Amino acid sequence: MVRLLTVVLLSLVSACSFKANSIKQDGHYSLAPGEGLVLIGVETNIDLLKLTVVGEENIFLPWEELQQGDRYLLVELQAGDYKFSRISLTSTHYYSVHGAGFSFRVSPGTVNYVGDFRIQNANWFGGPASFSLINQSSLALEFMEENFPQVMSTMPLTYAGPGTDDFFRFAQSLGAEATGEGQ
Amino acid sequence: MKQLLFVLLLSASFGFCSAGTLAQPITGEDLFKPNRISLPELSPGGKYLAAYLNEGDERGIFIVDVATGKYYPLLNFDRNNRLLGFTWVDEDTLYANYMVFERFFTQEIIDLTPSNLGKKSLGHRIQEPGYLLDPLRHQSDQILYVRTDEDGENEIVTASVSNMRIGKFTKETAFKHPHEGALRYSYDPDSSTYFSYHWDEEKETSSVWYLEHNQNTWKQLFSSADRDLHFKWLANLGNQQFAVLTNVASDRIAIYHYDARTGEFGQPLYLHDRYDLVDAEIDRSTGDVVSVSFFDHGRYSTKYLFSDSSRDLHLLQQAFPGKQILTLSVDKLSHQRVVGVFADDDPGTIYLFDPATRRAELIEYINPALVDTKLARTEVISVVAEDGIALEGFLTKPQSGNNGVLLVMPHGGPIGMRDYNDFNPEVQYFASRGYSVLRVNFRGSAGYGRTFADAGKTQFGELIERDIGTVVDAVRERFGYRQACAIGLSYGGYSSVMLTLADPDFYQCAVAMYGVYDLPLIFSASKFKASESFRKTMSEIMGDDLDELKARSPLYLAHRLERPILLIAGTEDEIADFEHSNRMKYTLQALGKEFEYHFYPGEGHGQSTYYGDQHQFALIDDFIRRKLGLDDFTSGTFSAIVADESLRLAQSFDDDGYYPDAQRAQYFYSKAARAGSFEAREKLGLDYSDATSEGEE
Repeated sequence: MVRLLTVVLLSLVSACSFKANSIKQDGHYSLAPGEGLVLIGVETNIDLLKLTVVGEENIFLPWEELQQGDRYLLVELQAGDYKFSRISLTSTHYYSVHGAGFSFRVSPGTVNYVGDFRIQNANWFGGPASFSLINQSSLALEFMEENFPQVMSTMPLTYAGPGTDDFFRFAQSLGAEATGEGQ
Repeated sequence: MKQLLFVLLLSASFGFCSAGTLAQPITGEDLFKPNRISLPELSPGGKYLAAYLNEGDERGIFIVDVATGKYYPLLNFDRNNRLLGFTWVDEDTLYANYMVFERFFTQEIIDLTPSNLGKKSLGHRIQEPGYLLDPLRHQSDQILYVRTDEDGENEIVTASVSNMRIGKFTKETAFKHPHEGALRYSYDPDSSTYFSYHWDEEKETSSVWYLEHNQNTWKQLFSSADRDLHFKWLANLGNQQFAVLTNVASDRIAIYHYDARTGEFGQPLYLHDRYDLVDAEIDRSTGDVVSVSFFDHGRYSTKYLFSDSSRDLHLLQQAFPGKQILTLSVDKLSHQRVVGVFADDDPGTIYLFDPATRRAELIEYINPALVDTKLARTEVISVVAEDGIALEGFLTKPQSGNNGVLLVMPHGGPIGMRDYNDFNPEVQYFASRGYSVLRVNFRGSAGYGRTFADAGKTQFGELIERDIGTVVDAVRERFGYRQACAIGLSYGGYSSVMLTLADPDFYQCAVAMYGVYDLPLIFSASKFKASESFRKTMSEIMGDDLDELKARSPLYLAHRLERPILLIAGTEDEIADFEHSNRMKYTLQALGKEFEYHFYPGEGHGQSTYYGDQHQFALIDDFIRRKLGLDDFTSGTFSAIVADESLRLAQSFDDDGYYPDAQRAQYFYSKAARAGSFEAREKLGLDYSDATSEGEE
């Protein structure tokens, strides 16, 4: 009975969130009003089934995007407040993410870099895993410049991670300095 | 190791003798390696000496029968095991603890009774979660153990040693009321006093409590919200009187008589006129200070205050003139002691000293590879800053082949860390290659009192670098250095760039390792670092005005850089977060500045392996030589060392190496080939043939 109830509850949670595949191709994106792009870094020591993010809308990043290793994922989201909620290894084995520091705000019309979500020591046999959200803005910027130059030319990259950080603005000024615009 | 214990007579002279007469580059393999022997400890009664051995595949705890010199390996460790420590429980029982896969805390009781010595397996795992609190050596068949239950609660129990030897854990509660919320405990066997250590999260206050023998109530010994205060009990003198080592009542850490009832400190029992004390020994029967230890001009020194106690030390000092002599283990029954004999130009030797016979027996060299190598001496540079504050620096000059380059090497921290005048493999590496190395204990450094340490706070890029400049000026004036390179790790990486920015005429390059370059990023590098408590701590150390911090950040000053920089970092660094280095790289690239970088994948705040150190310092030496136009030693006496070092670097950058980088591989193969490496020549020849045949197709 308990097992049945668990399955039903989990199904309900899944039903409330939708799968958000990341954008793979560069291009000139026209976002709907009130939408923004979100750049999330994911570093995981283990293959994941899902990474659930809840807020203005509830989404999950799917397993094909969450294999062991590091990557950046660019996804489209409604503007508003969000938080990392759950890390699922299987449909029944998951870690809940607690703490206010795992929340972020998506602004419309911009690429919002929310930080690199780092998962360490997650395992199939229980025991604690550790999660952190770290600011690797320069790596995120390099990723965007290399993979999404057209997006970068039409939308500003803004920082939406822990604390405040002016690096993107500074990096932009370096470009202006190099082309003489900053003089 | 089986030929331990060569007998040496103290009447002989043990002045450092070096077989090598000509200084030459010392290889990274010889310098960056683990101590062959460490943690020597005599058993109660002095029958055995236990120590940790680490050389090549041979790693583990061994014991030597002092009388016969017979050697017994006890616990062999592979690369997945890391020793935490060991101690004698009684004359034939050893307790050891270690980590397995960095995850599993493992403890063993090792039975060394003569009938058991010949057996293959001597140890029994202690399955009961917890840790040894005290071996209770004066009580038969008992230890004090902190037992942790499933909820993480601790209780202190006594356990039977004889049962543990056969794999059983039988316990009895030591006292009924363990101290709730204790983070850890300690125990003073001489006064049978328990101590517990606490942290109050809400009040941000730490406290020490004590419980005396046959008492039921824990009493607070000391409490403070000031994280910079030092307070350590030395002895319970009875009647709630303690001897403590503290800087509560004076600027420098000193020994005080402390009344736990009133919380008042008496007159200092010993206060050094310049340095913080780091340790002391108290005669518990009289309350007198037997000895005090401190870093005297950067060297660990112990001063005995009674002539009886200092007799042995004088004897040893006569036998080992100019050396630091540290007592590493003493057996109170036999009076034998294990001493380490070190110096700035000597990685050290371990001896067993018997005061009764006045004989010292050589146990082992800490780094046997350097026994016949002449190492560089370090000179203390004392300078008074403009505001009258005395500063200390340590200048290490090469034995020969001085290339006229001064490497200015600021230490990390910067607050509460310091440099020492002792054997330093990095310094010796550079000195053996002709460089002079200067290290400075600037304002903020530990060991010179609280005012001195506090004076460095919020002085990043300001007073700290001015202090370094003051000592550098004195050294330049005295020795005439005309060119320099600044090199440092962590805060030292930051400081190196700032020094180079400030005086590009003198500093012709910078090597910045694992550094911080964007000071405001320190407050936003991660969820943890954006927290209020971290911000509060760091604001006290470096200030919190973001505009001011930007104005003192190498990242935002990079457009003014005139000299080449080598950036070294670990991609998993969470202390000086990797983002600092990558940000600096991005910025230097965007500005078209001259720089090189090497980021070690998977490394944190420094190298985790000796191979990593060897690689890193070979890269640095190559960088400085190229940028300063120094002899690269590819021809002449030392070419074989350069050939070997360059070949290793080339292989690391090869397609199948640790850090694939075709351009660097080519460069180092060429350098190795120039230095005479047959293997490098062959490799380059193969590459050439491949390219030709590809072109023909």
